[in-house]
Amino acid sequence: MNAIIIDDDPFYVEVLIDYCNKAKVEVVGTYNESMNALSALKEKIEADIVFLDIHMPILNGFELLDSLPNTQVIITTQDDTKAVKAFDHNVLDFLLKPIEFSRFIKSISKAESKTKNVSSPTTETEHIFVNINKKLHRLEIKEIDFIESQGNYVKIHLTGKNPLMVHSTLKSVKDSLPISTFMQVHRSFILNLNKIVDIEDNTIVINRSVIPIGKSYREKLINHLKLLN
Amino acid sequence: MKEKVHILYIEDDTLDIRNLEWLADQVDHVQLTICQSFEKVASILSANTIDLIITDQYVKADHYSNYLSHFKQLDYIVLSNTTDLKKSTILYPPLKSFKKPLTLDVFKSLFEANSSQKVASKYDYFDTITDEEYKERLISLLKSEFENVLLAVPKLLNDNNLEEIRQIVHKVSSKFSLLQMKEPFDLARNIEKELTIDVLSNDKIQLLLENTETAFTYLNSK
Repeated sequence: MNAIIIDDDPFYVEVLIDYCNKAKVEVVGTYNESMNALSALKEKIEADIVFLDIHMPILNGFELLDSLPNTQVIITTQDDTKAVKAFDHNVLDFLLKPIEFSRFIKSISKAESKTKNVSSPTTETEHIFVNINKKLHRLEIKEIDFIESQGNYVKIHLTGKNPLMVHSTLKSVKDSLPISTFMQVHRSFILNLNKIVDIEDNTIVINRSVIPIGKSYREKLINHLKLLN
Repeated sequence: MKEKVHILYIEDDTLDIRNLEWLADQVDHVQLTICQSFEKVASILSANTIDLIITDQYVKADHYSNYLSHFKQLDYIVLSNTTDLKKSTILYPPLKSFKKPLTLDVFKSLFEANSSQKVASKYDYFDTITDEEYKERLISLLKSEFENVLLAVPKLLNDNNLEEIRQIVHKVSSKFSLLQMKEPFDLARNIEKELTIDVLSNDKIQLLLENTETAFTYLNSK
């Protein structure tokens, strides 16, 4: 497994590097500034785990979380009041500074077991369950056109059916969907690549809906479509 | 309470359950059992020795007060999304009630109310490090941070740069915690909290600087 560390406190960067070394986790990058970390993660670095501090200048950890590619995030902070918010962002774990090594190892074990589950050769998901008014509804993946973030909810647009409003985050929904079929194309939109009708400039048409393409997502989308060709 | 505290948590919200599981994970002597409906409470209490019940005010739209007879007169704490907790019977009131989300400080206070505060700095953390070079590097980083606090904060006070002071205080608080300096840690947390609403107490800042000086001197002597 490999990891990157995003923290503006050099002391904890040192501590985390040491802990990673002891746990046989390779540190492939350390960043003391969120924007640099984000660029690296989007462009060149692939990490199994991101250790992310919350309180950082310019872009704080929570703001960064929603933009991160599909990566397991472990929050590292001295602010114990943010645990619920962190779990709402679907983070893997929440480590309180000063971090104890035994607690760190627990987080790594969680990450390892999750990575094994993800990489095991299983058939691709055909459905997901969504919680609407405390009832779990089964949704066939192939019926989903795109998903739109609306505040504390996501709106799931379906082929030939009314959209569904679900209390969740875009990141959480994204993590449940197969990455070969779904891609985030804007900070507020994830779409089913199989449903694209056409792409023009900075917009995508699915059924009769026009979806914007975010600047930072465009290159990844185009590259992916080329692969499909 | 005895060494191991067995808590029954009655809650139907996944996020709140995950939060309490995390809180329980931070306290060594806590065992947690989760129950997602009041109907199951009686059977769980029959099969387990529970020390404390923590319940959401409403679980599946039922109010806890309708199920007090199931609680077997155990101490219980009520959590609520709002501050206006609907009052239950005065004969068997909750021990305490808290607004959600339950934070680590509050959770720990349930078990550590009488523990004595640690004031003096300790060196335990560094004593566990066997790699001398790494230990030197960490101590050097700490000293440099304390030195920066001592130099920068008075200047920032003159400039009335509260945001920058807040960031420095936020960072240094965990270092006090690392050195097991509980009072300075609490003081730093308090200052940080006040600074988020643009309140600055000069007396508290001066005390924080004195504590920083103490920690710095202490590290220098090592």
